[in-house]
Amino acid sequence: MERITMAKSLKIGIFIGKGASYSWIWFVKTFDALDFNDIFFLDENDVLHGQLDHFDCFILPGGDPFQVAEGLGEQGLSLVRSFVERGGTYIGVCAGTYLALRFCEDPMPWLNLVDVPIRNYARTPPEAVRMQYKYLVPYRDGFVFHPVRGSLEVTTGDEVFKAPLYGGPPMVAPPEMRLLDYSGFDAKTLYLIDEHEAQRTMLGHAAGIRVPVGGGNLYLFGPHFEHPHYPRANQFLHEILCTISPLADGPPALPVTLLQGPELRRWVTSLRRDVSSSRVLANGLTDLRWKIGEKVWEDEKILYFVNELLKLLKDLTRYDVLPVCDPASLRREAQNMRMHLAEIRVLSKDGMETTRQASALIDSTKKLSKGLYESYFMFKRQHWWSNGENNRTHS
Amino acid sequence: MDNMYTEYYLVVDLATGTAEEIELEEEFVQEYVGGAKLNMALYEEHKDGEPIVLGTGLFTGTLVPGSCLGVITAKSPVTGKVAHAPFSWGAGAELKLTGYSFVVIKNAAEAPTYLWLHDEIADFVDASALWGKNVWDAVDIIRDEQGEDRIQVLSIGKAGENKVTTAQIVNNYWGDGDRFGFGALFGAKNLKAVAMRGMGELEIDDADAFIEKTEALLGVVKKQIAGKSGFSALDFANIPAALKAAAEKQMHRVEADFNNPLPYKFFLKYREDPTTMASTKVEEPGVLVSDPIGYAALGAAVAPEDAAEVLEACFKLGLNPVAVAGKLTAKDKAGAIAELEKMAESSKADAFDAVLSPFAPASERAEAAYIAGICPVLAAAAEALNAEALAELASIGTGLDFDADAFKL
Amino acid sequence: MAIQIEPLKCINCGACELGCSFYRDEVFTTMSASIMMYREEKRNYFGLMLKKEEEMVLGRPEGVEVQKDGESSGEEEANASAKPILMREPCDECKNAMCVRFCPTGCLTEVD
Repeated sequence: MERITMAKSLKIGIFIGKGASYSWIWFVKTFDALDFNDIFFLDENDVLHGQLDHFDCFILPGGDPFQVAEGLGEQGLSLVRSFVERGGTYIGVCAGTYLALRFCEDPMPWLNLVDVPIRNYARTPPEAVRMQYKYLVPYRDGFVFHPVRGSLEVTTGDEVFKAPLYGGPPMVAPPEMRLLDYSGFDAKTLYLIDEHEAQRTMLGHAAGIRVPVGGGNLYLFGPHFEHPHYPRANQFLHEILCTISPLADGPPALPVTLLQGPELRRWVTSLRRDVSSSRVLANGLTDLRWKIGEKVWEDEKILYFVNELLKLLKDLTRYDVLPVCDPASLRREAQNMRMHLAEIRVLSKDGMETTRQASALIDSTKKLSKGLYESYFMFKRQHWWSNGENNRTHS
Repeated sequence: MDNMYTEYYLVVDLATGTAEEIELEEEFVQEYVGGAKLNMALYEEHKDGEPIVLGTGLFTGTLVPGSCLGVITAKSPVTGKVAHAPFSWGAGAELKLTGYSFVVIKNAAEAPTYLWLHDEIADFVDASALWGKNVWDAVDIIRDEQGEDRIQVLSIGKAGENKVTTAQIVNNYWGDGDRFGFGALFGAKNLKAVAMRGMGELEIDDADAFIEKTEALLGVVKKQIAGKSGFSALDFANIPAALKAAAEKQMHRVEADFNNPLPYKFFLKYREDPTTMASTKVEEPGVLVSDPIGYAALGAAVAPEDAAEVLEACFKLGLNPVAVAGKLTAKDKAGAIAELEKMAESSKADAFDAVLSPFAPASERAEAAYIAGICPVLAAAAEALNAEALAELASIGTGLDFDADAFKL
Repeated sequence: MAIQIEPLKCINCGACELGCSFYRDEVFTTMSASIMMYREEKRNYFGLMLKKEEEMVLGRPEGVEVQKDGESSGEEEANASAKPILMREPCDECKNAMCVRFCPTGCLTEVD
């Protein structure tokens, strides 16, 4: 119990910068459910400004490792290496795992902290049986390929449970590193290559490893143990966190505005209005798939985020007080999100390019999400509230 | 209310531009159930504000067959009494899924306004640019402004703006069950429209049992309405043979309200070949005959082949076709439409006496349908949708205790 | 079991959306179904969109069309590690599908 209590004070930084996919929100939901409240969000600028010094754990979630590396640059990557060597814990999932591994002779200049080959890298990968466009990623002289997607089974040796895989690697790791192996597939596993080939490629190889580097550790996972629909996998993550000693002091406190009572309600209502309107607009974009034909615009990502933000804002309507960094800025981001969506709708209907607006939309969505979740966790931490009382509910 | 309904209902004061959320309590639902009956309770409570109550039934928005119904309750300027008009298509379910199963609209706005309901948010939107616009244009503008074509709109045209008692509230582009001149009440309140986008969720108490019973009920209902579609579902509308023959030449497709297995509505095309299935550049190829009795009334006033286009004009102006058909003197299309334009400025509906709209056929099951949120046209055609069956489903879905008497006004 | 669409039997009632959403979330909503109504209301042009893992089946009144997924309208290529962060899950071809059971016209049927 003491271990769990201690773990709850771990200072955890989640990377949400360039290249991080929206799966970071799964970490948010899982940590919230597990009552971890010292959760912070970092982008490449934060890393470059030395912010990692203030954290026990740095999480690099799923996404595009090429973009992550590009955003961090050599200096940022070097700072991440130093963080681990000085005693920090790096948790990599999917892209975060690829970023940390050296899996071929001439690797990309990424973290390259762990020498562990992977089973899904080849010069001539097996033929895809489906999802050609999601199956291969060129890497140096070869390709990283994805044998399966979706739910599958992993084992600790004592126990088997499920976790979802969306591109993470099966690792060829020595026994002392291995935490979990891929042990089987299930009815929901989608085979991108021949089933037997997939089995040979994956089963019996490492799905999760722990590697000590310098004073710290890397925990590298293929599947998304943070996915909120997989409670046992979340629990496994929890168990790992409980082994880490909280030593960091957390990032410097930012100036906050304490919104209260009617002012808070007005602010929340105004955000809800724009987020809900964005939701209507985003949902309306689905119809464009009918019209655009072969060109399919991935509107779903925005919808997911907008839905999650709306749920959070609905929760916040019950609060009497909330610390917020720059409420006016968040208000602007919500308005921007709606504006960009409205623009995309108009342009898309006319068959015009929307890349610039989509990029701006994603940026606004990320800033708004970061700001709201920061407030949410700030409230949960209650560090700003001198007498420690919880004034969440309306009187 | 945890199940079948939303947590809140809304009380809107157009004069102050405020909207208050009030918890929809179980006890209230246990006593009044929903639809016309619960609307009436809310009407009485808020009488001081000359309210228009938009409400939904217990089953509106669920998988129970015909669960499309919303009900408008207000004091009719035609009958002089409180009455209930149905609205269906997609709007009934959409209203409930906005997060507000009932909306009480009180007093009058100072300037033209439309109410925009979405995700438990009620926005008062300036409608001065919409005032004077015909219904179809207004709906297009609202959908464009708010960003989605699935937004459902209850609105008025010139007739309602001019507060004539032949006005009706129109459901998107199509007339609906308002025979009571409620469109004039919207006009008196400076309320151009109520726009809704329902992206919420409804929970059910015993979901497995509810789905099992609902599916079984659907099976029986399908047998009872077997073969009924379009005209064959419309004996009650008394559509004469000549009008049917004209309509058959213009017939495009039959269709149905939200979750309604009875496709009694049909679309007639007269600006393009009705057999054209693809989407073409013709923006307004025809009209949905959403009001078969209204269509029949117009068919008696003008040439059968022109009745559909005259119906379209009624919908655009926000006129109740039944109220105006008998007043038309011109037999030609252009003349009739010109007369309708004048009636939208000034006309008076003949008084009649009814509490439930004569839009749908009278039946033993009509009251239950108006309370349950079931299409009254379907209820008339399907004996299985009786108060006893609905009471059983209501109890399973809510976890409360209802008997057949609960479904009587 | 895969879903077959016969678009001209559709009466655009949306029972399929409601049924599929219920299958997924055990609530009544239209927001989480793999099958969606499409309608150009004034033109009375309507059909169904069925989202599948790799494609979108468009039940157009003029004929069924299958759109292959993966090509994006922007410069960003569909990512190999793209997560299905979807509001709408692809049809999982469940048995005794709710959409089929509640479709009143037989527009939707299950096929091998």
